[in-house]
Amino acid sequence: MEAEISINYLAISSELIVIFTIVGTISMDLILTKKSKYLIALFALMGSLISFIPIIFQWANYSKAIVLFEGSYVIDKFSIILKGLFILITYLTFLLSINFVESDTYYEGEYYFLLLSSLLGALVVASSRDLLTIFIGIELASGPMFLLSGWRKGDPKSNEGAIKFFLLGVLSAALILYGFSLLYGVTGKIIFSEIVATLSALGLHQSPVVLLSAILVLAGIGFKISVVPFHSWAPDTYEGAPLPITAYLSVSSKATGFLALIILFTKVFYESGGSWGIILVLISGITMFIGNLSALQQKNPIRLLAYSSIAQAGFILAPIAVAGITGNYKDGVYSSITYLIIYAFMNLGAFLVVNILINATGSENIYEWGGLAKNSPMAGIFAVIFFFSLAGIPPLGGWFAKFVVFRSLLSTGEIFGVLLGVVGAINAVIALVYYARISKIIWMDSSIHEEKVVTITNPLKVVGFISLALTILSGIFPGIFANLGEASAIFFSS
Amino acid sequence: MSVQPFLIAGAGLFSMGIYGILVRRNAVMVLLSIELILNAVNINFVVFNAMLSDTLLSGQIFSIFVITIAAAEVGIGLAIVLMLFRNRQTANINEFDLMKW
Repeated sequence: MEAEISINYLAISSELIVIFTIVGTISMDLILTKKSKYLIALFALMGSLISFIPIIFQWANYSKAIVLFEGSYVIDKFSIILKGLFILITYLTFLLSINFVESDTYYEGEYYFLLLSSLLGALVVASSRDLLTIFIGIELASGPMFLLSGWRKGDPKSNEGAIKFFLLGVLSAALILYGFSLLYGVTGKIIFSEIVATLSALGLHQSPVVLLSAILVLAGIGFKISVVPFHSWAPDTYEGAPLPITAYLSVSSKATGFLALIILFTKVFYESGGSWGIILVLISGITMFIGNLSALQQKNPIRLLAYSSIAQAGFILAPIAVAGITGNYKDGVYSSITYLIIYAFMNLGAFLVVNILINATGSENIYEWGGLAKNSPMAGIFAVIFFFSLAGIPPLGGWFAKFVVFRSLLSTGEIFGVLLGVVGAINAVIALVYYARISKIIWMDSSIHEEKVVTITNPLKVVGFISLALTILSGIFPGIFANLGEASAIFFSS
Repeated sequence: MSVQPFLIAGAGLFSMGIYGILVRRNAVMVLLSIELILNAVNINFVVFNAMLSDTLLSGQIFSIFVITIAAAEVGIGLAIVLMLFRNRQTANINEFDLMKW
């Protein structure tokens, strides 16, 4: 008997377009001569732009969740928003990369091939609803990043960052897998809804095996989102990797990890939230402190941003942690994802500024950046807006993100929520010190680089203005995030 | 037949892998220790599949995917180790200390 298999190709069309682009870039790399390699960059840019079109169509038409492959793959408004975010981030990373890759002596085709593969992994994670699919998505998203972080093959720092990232990354994958194997052993199922049904039928939601599985998965994903105590690779890898890749790592890889965490912990482990919630609260608070206190002492702007992004991960984690204790997952997920989206664009902007200034001065020490804003007011304005947005100053986007998180923490009245809110408020003040210090150095310190010309190429300008527009708009019109609340409601009903 | 011996073997491999990662200083040996953990996972999946008599064979299929991904990761890992060895003439992870704090 032959079973009738029908696949809704329209629902997975953005993934399919990315796959075609991946195959296209690698074949073009094979065929094209050294002189015309720039066509690969154009092709990759077009491909990622075209894969955004189905996202718009799906957003307009899919009011209900589309379930594919017997429940393994779900396209709902929640996953559509995140897919749009991933595609946009990758597009902006391509724009950041163009001049960088051309100025280097290394191969071009692989670069775009690997970045697109990572994008495909992120897209798969956004829709996956079973253990196998989510694992392959996570690995596909992080595997190419190991190679890309070691892109500058001749540079010992890049090598060192890559090996640290790789060993810890593979270890984290192994931990996640061991957790999954225990979960499979208890239930015999790999699709989330069936796992939950079996766990409920057997009354095993609070059993030690399930909690051990949750802890192993948490440790594994902790590496991907670089929260304390699993953060030690992040500053080294960020420093060694090429700057566009660092930006991508701190934004898209982190978002993929958070998405996997949210999907697994709110779809599978949600009944045992009281147990892992407290662990997450602790991790979140400690992450904020260690990230911010380490960032205070950094002279290297990339390491500073690395520690700042560790601290920001603590903020993103906080609402999920408190939601685990209170059980109000809808609000927690809404707050975390809102923070994640706004953080993505302001952090990309911050890396853009660092990229421009390092290229202009050739110095990786922020104290040697004195007075650079006088050479290029545009870079100065970008710096002020993105760094103040990261600090959470109104009316920029970062302010609304912090507002949503604090509202979510305090509205519950839970003692852990209030405590975490206090910790977050203290850390917002600490963070302001080093964010404001950069702006002060750039604008007010005496200039030691008067002759230096700060050039901002056109692709970088596009990245700057897109990030700037999204950062400012999300602060002035936070109403656009109301859609996200509706989307996270659909996420929990499917 | 009891599944306990197999699960103990799996847990033992997992612990040995973690121990190897913490103690071994050669990057290739660390890589091998990680492979041990992945094999512990494979044993778990296959044993659980047999124990539960899962007709969909999800466990066995899962372990095939794990083997494939492990192979891909070893490919990436050896490429990185090779690159390091070319530049530094060593694969000892204690000597990779260019960046601290």
